[in-house]
Amino acid sequence: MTAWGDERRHLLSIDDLGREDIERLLARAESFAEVSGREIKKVPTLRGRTVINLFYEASTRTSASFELAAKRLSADLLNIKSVGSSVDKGESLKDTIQTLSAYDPAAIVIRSPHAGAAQMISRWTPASVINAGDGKHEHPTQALLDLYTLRRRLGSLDGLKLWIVGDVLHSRVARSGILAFARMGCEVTVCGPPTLIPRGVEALGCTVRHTLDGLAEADVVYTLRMQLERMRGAYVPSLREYAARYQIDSRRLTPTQLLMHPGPVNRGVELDAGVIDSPQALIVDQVESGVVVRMAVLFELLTGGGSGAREAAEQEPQPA
Amino acid sequence: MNSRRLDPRADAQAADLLIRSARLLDPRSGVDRNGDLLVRNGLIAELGAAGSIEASDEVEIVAGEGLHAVPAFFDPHVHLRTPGREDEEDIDSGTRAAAAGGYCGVLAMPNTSPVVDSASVLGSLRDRARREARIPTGFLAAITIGQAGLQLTEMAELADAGAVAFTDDGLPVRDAGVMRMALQYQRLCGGVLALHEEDPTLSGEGVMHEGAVSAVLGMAGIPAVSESTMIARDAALAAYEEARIHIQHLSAEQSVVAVEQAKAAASRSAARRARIT
Repeated sequence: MTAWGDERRHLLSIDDLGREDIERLLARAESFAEVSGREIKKVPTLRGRTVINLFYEASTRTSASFELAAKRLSADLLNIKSVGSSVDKGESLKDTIQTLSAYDPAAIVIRSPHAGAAQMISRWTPASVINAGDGKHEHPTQALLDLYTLRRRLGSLDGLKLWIVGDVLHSRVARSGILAFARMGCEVTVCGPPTLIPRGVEALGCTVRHTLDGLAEADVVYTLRMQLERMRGAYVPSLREYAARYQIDSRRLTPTQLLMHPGPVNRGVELDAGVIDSPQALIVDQVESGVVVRMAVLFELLTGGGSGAREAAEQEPQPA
Repeated sequence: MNSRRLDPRADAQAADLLIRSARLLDPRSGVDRNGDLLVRNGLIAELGAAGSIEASDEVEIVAGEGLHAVPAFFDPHVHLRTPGREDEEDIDSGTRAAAAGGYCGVLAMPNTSPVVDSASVLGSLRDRARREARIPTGFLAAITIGQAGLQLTEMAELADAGAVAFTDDGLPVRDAGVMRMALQYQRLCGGVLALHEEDPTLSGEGVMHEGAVSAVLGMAGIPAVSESTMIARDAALAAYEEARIHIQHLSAEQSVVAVEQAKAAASRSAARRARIT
């Protein structure tokens, strides 16, 4: 049974989702795209319900888009960051969750530096828990928005060849991405220096390459950010050498390939400035998709999906 | 632990006991059969075929069907957390738990606070054990001061003060030179060196076995070779110094292979006095 079949719903891992679950979420996101096109981008679906954004790590895109998603669904939103909260005073995660649960939130969106944090807090709160990134484990909404972005551009993803290039070791985006793309029928290859490819990663459903030879076969090149902030010790001898061997530039990217990146980009490291701004790059589309996909996730989790979905999108905009 | 070491007088008032039709197991004497076992005055008085031993009215009878009767166990690796973390465990609670689980003796590790790295700490600990321990309790002492891996403890003096063996349990002796000196010192003071084998430069911040599961979960992995390479290193040093080591944790197939190879090599070479357990 997937997490979606439970009475209380969470989004903890892409692994919990079947292809139909993903299809439903993407269709829902599609229906919300229309809302985002309106002048007043708001529906009353979650009026009177509370969403808590609990972020233990720095974030721009994910926290901003969850915030916008909750607001466009008319939920009351609480943003809590570790800096300046009682986490600073040494409060344990469990105590924080129990305290926040006393406010009766419908959902807690959590980003944590620790793998498994979202899973763990789902046992401590009656709220729906959404994993917005747990350590090096997963970042499921990123994978969903990547699928959404690519589907909008290409239609079906079946049989698509996708290369994920870069620092897979430290990347939760890669773990969720491999699972999600494979589930939607893509052939996934991961590529990077051996020090940045975790042993056993094939178990997620991908093949491993250590050089960019053969990159031309890819329909989509998904580059990862070099997570300099997560690296303890030198995983590559130098960024210069890394860039020379793995940087995606206009020479390596063929004109028909699409380019993706979860952001924030280290310009001149994993990507050359020239390709970032090319029409092949979907990087800005990915950011844009973040809002509707996260609206869809909140909607599906908190309303139970079902027939109310279309009605929600068809509801008249409500002045805030 | 030998039953003669237990004082039968302590049990002189205990009722005699007949365990009826249990599976009797004693690997040392080669016993493995269903039968009756009679305890008189705290000592095993008789073994017999199931249902064969007659019992008087005063004898307490235990129905042993489906149960095992075995010699009490001995645990050479326990943590009594004393001194320093008596909130977690102390000599009384730890030895009571051991007795309840069928253990007649334990050896406690020295990774306490302070570390058991001097004769004075060991002496006070043994005093306390004499008062509080419910079963015979022995203590290991640290190999290096503070288990920091840099400087040997006064191993000979610790041995005189009653240290049964030496270990930096919980931490590896990272420096091969320090390990070699400890093995040399063993000639002076006896006592096996019990080793926590882990190369911290390989295990790093790992929290689980490195493999497909750690890759999927995004947890930092510990490669099996972080254990097996240290076993190979220390086995080579022990052979060279004709010393005796005990590997405390075997958590990987490669480690078992490393022990096997080291034992085979030791039996072939001139260093037959080296022992690896």
